[in-house]
Amino acid sequence: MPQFSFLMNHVSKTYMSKNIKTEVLKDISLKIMEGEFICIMGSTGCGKSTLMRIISGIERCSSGEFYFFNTDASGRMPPSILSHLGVIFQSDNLLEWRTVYQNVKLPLEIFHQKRGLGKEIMSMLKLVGLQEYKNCYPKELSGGMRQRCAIARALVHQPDMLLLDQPFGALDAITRKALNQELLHIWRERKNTVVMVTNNINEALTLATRVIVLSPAPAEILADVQVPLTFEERTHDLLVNPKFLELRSRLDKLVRGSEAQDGGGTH
Amino acid sequence: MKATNKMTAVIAPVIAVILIVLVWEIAVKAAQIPEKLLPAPTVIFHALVKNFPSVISKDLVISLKSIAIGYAMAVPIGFVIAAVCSQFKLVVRAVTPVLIILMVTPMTTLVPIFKLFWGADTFLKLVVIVLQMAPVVALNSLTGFANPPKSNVDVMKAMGCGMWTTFFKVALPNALPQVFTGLKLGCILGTIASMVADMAVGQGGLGYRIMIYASFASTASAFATILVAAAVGVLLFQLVSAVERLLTAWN
Amino acid sequence: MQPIITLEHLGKQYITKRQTITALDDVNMRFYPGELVSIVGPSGCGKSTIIRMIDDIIKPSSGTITVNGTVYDNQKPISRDMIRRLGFIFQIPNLYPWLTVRQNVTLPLEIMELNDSAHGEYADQLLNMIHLSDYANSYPREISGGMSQRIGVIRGMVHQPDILMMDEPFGALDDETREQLNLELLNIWRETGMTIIFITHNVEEAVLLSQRVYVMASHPGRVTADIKIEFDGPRTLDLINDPKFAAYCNQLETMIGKIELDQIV
Repeated sequence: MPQFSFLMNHVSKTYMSKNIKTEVLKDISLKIMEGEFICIMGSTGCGKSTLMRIISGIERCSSGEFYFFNTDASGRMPPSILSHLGVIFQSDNLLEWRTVYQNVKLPLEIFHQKRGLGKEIMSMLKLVGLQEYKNCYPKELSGGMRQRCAIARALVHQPDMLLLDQPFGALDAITRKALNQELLHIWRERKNTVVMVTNNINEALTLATRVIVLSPAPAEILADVQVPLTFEERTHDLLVNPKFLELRSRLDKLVRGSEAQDGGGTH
Repeated sequence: MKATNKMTAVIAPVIAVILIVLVWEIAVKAAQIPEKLLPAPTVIFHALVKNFPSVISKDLVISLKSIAIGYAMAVPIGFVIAAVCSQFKLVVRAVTPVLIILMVTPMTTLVPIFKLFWGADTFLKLVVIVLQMAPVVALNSLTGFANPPKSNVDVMKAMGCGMWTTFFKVALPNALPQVFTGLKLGCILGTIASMVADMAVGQGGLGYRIMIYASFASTASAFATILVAAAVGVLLFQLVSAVERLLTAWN
Repeated sequence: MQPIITLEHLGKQYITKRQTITALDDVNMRFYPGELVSIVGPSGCGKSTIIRMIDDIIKPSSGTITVNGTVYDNQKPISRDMIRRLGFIFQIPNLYPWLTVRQNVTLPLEIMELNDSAHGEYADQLLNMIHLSDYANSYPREISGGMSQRIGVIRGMVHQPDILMMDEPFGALDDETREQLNLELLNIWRETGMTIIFITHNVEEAVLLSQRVYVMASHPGRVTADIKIEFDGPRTLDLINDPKFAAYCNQLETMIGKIELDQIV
């Protein structure tokens, strides 16, 4: 029986500022099985990034609980869990004073994984096609190369689960598609569980096995859509695949519909 | 293109200095300014050659020693103050104006008061130098440490890193350019402080020697000593800059 | 119909110490009056270079550019009259922070000495068209990124050019804002009848906007296809779910082909 990688029960998040309560997440429950690729979608500002920051342990939730591999992580994220997670952010967040090689090395330093260090880093750099740039500083790289370096950094400690917060949002469309394909291949080869926030329907359908659509803030789960596309279908002529088109128009209505609702709700 | 740029960067200031010295020499000779008032560059140079081996060199050693010891004490003190304070937002706000006040206060003005307790001692010079250097090192480092890039801090948080790991992996390397601004200002202010302390405390040193020469109206020798003092400042500054270039190659 | 812009055998070489880089190789393009044509291709294919040549920002190494019957002379800068017929919109709006929104928009008029009231009214009309009349006296720091971008767009056309060149104007915006601005652009294009050359990486954007799309490849930069885009109905966001739209996107993506990782620059 497949095991769950991640389980979230009734998680809410409320910010307090100047005595005004802002509810961002409302009663989110989510179960993610081992090896799934989940995309989380929703209109701008709906709280999907907040959800991601909570899952990756950067922020804490106000109420509710969540578990990684049966370990409770809703209070303080247990250190034993963190080394099983790889996180990629919206911007590449590279450390400017470290070379490409040293940036990729960072998680190994933090998690004290010294075995086969050099070999693992080089194989990661090869995976993302940056081996020739290992001694370059981030500012010498293009946006696409920087984000690939961030991907290598998130994978180097061989995490079981990848958490990606709109990782390709700042890249041009063509580079973005090339990296989508690359990520698809990496996922197929490494079989990690992936959770990714995106606002691009094509990207979600290229990658995800399941798409979760959030409502506008305070975010609730609006829909949970399975994506039954094969690897072959995802890599060839996806844009004219009838299954894809049907899913696309369904998701389009869900995401856009949630916006229209938002517009009506503010009056 | 680049090579010629480097050449002009070296040659242009050299030509400027030569021109100034030439004009000085000619003007002093032409206007027949008395040597006691403003000696010509050639006269100063003769005084330097005559007095350096026997007198000025000894004062140079004394000055260099006190600046070096002062620097070696002030930098860690300023650095640790900054590192600790930077971890607490409230403390950063509280400490910053205090450091600014300390930085702009000429510490040599405290010499007459300190003399009451310790007498005219070389230790007093050290106190003055450290008091002058430490705040400027601390202030610049603090500004750097207190504002690490949020995006990079998030990376560390996602890996569960604590306050000090985040400090050493992100805040410190990110702040190096600002830290070095503090170190460079520190060595300038420290050199000045040591000269003035020499004058106020005595016990040898370049500042003391300038004062002695001036009081005996050996203007040329005083100028020669000033020349040495200036060279000390420039060399220290260049030394720190060289270390900076080495450590912040990424910038 | 005669083309308004003709590019013939256009080439551009950059000579460095070690090698000669061919940025563009034998590019031939035609743009007809009132057309909206997109150029898509990966980074480094030279698509931005082409419109910069048409706007006389960069000189070609070989080939000719003919705009409205005038052949660009490589030796002389193009005439002021010619410059007034051209508009150029950059990826970053680069608004001047010390000028109000309206002052930013009318800046080109001052520079081109078109200070008559008719042009001023046109500026207000454009502000109205993008729904930003209320912000005319605001400063750039008081408005959002999407708003700045719209201001940048109308600033590039306030002098009523015949030809508008847009260099990935919406590349830095999120998908929702971009789609909104695409619709506004279509609206502006219909009302003004300008010839628009639109540079983008985004295949969907190209299909939604254009009547024709040039596909380019890199190393060296060259044209690989010239595709007509035709829809029966009006261009709205509903098109995105039209099978024909998907077919065009798929065709363009196949034309661009798989970009190898080491080719991403």
